[in-house]
Amino acid sequence: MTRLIIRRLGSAVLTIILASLLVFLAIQALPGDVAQQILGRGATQESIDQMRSELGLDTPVVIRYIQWLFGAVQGDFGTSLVSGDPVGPTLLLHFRNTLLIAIPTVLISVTLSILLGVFAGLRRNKWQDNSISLLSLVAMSIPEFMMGALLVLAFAIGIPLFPAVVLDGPNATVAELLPSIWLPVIVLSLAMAAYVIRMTRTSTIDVMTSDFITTAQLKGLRESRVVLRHALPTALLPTLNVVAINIAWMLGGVVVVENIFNYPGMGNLMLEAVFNRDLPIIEAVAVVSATVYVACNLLADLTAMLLDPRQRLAKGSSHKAKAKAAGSQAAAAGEGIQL
Amino acid sequence: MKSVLRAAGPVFIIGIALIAINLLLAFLAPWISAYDPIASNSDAALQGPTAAHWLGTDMYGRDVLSRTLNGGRYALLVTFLATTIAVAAGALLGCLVAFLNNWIDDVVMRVVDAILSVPTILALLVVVAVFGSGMWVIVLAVVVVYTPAVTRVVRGAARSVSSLDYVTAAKARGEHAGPIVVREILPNVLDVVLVEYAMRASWVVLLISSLSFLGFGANPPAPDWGLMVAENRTALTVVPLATLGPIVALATFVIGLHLTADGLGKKLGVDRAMTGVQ
Amino acid sequence: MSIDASVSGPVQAPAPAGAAVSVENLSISYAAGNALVPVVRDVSFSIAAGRTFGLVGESGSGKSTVARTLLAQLRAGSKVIGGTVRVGTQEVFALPPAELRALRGGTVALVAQNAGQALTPSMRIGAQVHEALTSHGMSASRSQVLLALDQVRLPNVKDMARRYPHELSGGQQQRVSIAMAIAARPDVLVLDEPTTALDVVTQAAVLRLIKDLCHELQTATLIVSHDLGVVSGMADDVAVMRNGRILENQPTAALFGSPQAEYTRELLRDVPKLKTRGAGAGRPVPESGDPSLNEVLVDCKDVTISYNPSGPPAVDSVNLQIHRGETLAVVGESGSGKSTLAWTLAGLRGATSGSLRVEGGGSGRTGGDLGEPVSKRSLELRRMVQLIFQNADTSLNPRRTVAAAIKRPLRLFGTVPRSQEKARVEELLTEVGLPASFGKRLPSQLSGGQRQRVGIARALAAGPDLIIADEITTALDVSVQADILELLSGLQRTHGLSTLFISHDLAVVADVADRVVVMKNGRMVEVGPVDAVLAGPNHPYSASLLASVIEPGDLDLPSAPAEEQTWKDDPEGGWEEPGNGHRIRKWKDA
Repeated sequence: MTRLIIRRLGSAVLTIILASLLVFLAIQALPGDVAQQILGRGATQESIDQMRSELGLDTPVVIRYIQWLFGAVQGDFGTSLVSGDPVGPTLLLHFRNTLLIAIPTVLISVTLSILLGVFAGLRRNKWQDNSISLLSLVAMSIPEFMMGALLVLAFAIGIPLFPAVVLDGPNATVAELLPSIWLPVIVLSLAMAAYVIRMTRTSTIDVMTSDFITTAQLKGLRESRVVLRHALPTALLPTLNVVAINIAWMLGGVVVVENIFNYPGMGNLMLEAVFNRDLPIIEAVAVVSATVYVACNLLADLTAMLLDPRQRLAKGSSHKAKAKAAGSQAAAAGEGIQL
Repeated sequence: MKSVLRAAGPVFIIGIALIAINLLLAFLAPWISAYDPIASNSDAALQGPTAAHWLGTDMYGRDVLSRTLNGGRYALLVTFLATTIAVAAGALLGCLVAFLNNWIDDVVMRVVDAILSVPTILALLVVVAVFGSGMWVIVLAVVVVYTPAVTRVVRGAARSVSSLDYVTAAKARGEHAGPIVVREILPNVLDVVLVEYAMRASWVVLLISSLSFLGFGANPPAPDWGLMVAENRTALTVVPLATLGPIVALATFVIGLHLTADGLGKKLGVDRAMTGVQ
Repeated sequence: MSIDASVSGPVQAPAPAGAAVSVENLSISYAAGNALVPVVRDVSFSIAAGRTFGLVGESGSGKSTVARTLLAQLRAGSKVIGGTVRVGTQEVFALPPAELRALRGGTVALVAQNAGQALTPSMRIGAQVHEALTSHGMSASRSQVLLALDQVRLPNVKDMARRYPHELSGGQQQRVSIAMAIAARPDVLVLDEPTTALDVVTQAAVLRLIKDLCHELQTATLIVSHDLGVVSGMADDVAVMRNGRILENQPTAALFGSPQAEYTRELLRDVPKLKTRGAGAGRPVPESGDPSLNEVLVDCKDVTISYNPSGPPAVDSVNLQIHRGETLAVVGESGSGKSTLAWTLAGLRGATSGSLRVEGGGSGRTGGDLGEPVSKRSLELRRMVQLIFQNADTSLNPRRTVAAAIKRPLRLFGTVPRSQEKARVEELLTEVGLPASFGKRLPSQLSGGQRQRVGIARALAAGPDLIIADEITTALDVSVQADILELLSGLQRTHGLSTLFISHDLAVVADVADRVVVMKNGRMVEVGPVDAVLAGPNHPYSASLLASVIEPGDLDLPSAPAEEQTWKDDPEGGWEEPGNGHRIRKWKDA
């Protein structure tokens, strides 16, 4: 089992490095010369050349990538081309702000949607299931930008409970930001809940028809015990991946929602950086997001091992292969639209 | 045909109907809309619904109904192109690597994971920033970010198919990878691929609209659902229909796709979420 | 339609007072759309305490449905149309939920077919047994849990209790299921194909255990099986079911001695029998004479196949020859390496070491090396060896017609010119006993036996020299199995084919094979002509296989053969040779 974990860790690190390389290369392809962009149109060729060598742009791409990677590992992501500030602290600040909306969202959304999903699965095709399924379908189909606009209309303009947009900058304290997190939290919770509910419902239905549940029922156990002790650990396995991907998506920055509420999180930073072609920031955001994504998936795998002893087998076993197939399916189902 | 539809169940029929209505209206828009969707008229700005303007007008006095009818053309076309290419490429690649099940599979899946780990929107924004926001650029960008996801899903389904005896029989006959993938594996994951297509399309159309909303897709004054929401949301309290019109159109289309996917899944015995588990 | 329903009418068993179980005129239907499809029709029987009642029938006969009603379980969509099921004095379908829970596991307990899937994967064995005790108000200290595990003769119970189901062997899993079932001392035990998923030696041991426990606890027992031998060895009374009806219901000895229903007689005729078979009663000697005198088609020398370089090899230094026109059977339990050997011959994986030489024969063919995987074999070599699969359901592509499936090898190997392909497909279909019009059908429109015939036609289409038949009748009902085996030996005679017949069932092997190889843990332990092997002397493993066979008419079980291995290979190696090509690996007591 330890070997399995080490192998998973290794492949996680590999994935992050590969992702950072892909982003690095993509960004190198951005048109326009960075040096020229910094110095403006009127710059002379000499000053541009000098800037290029200062920025290290005259060294080969591979060397620059390795240098960047070494810096990144030590937390040095370079300096912003626009503000000239080091990228690391800016990133950290926005990441903190994103955490501030992500944590309540995950706590509220995951708890509620697992409960609702299991409930819908147990009441399959009854009115409770049909209404829960219909609501989650609607939640999946309304774009977040609309959901945000409606909530602003209702709770900021109609009944002024929450501020419509955040006026504080990224440097605001947690206490200053706290009143403005609730509308984004509601929008994100709804968006995330739909996928988790659907997945949990499906896997609950699937597990409840399996042989070992029949055995447990025919042992004369109470239904509550059958569900909680026998069905849930297995039924939650596919849900784990969906939750992991949704968490990763939120921590990586939710561009649309943060944009609507002008919330100073990772998403806004990303959008701003793309508008301004602030390459070091784009790179840093991408790598942090990839790391979070990989870490969340790793965590989901470890939790799966905790829930289901079969997952602890080294690969080669059919159970593992099946569970993996289920995982990637689940992953795809839960990934939804990541904005 | 009638019996086929009936067998598919009401959910599927409602889904297909919603999609068909949206597609039909978008296709006929140039002929059935009463106004030029980009013609502004400062005398008629910000009107509520009237006999002349059924859904009212926006801040430039443009007819909301005409803009809504025309607003789907761009998003639906891009969605169709991008989804078709991404699903076709992903399905083929997924089947192939599932069949090969060797180091190529490992390498491809590693790259797929790496691409999936970069936030979709960031990847899209970077591509748009590099190549501009032309239609084919957006199509390409969506293909790049969604092909890996399709690959992963189809590979999952294809793995269970490729361990079945009829694939083994083809291998034992000494058939090559190409014919095995095309003749034996692909037809048997087609149900998964179809459901995948419907789900994927629903995400793509939301994604395209969100891009336009953020200012990276359709350019003003072109009529586009996402763009219309972005333009009119500040006037939400004054002319709510200018925002709700495009949203309802978009939401019905997406709901249609979801219902179709659910109906298809049930009919074909593919529970999207659980394929490959049992 | 039952064959003799009009003669004897529905068989009514009188319900004796005080029967532990009595089922009266039970009818169950399944709702398919608006129509109700009868699954069980007018079934009646009763079981007294301490007695065992057997229900036997082919797939779809409704036997399992009947068995599950004792626990008031119905499949979704099914409902009771008429009749009653009583356990003790309780009418099970009328029980309120609390009493139903007390009935399930308390009064009536179930042992299901596949223990691997019937145990909760995320719970330890000890916890699952503990729960079976506590849910029915029994005290369950740790020692009582261990006692329950010990009662089903599990080794090392302290360690077992801490394990998860997937860490147990199939036989051990089934023992845990039994421990759970008898934990609350039920009055009635329902056994639904309890040993179908197990190897023959394990099956004998598990059945012995169940029988002893039932006797000890004086339960009324219902055993459901498709296997006439199992029911014969276990039950006091047996009922034969077909299409939801009980055709006859008699004490076991009477039923197997003088079956009344024509259907029962057919079933008994179709079961391959080992013990009652006279010497040489197997397949007729091919016209070409004794096959062992024929030239060698495949010669395997020291073949070793490893999946994983550090573990033990799946096939370990196997030496064998397959002669032209001969059927060579390979027998062994799951994990014995028999299928690995077959798959290597078919080219689906390479041999790790050793040589597998195939001779080309007289017609200018060159032969070649079967140690190579398919990708390195010549077209000619691939044509020579064809596979038939165990599971006909998965061996045909569900999206392609029967004709397309058969045409593919014709095209690939260029067996016939393209213009004649269609005619050849029809010819092949006729040859395997199917109407030529079946070519247009999809596999889902065929029965299991018909699909297996298509599988055979597809193999024949290549014009092979060697056919590898991997457990081809395991998934089939006994009457269909008999037809398929007959078809195969007929084809083999007319085409002069050699067959490698992989099976776990000695009785089937005895019917079809010329020679038999017994494998255990990847090694050959015995090889010889079928009659010589059946007559003995035997290797202790072959002996335990033979001893574990239970045939219809056996009124008791074999005295439990040891599940653990009681022998080891002689370190000096070597073979004993009683003559006539019969060889036995030397062994010592462990």
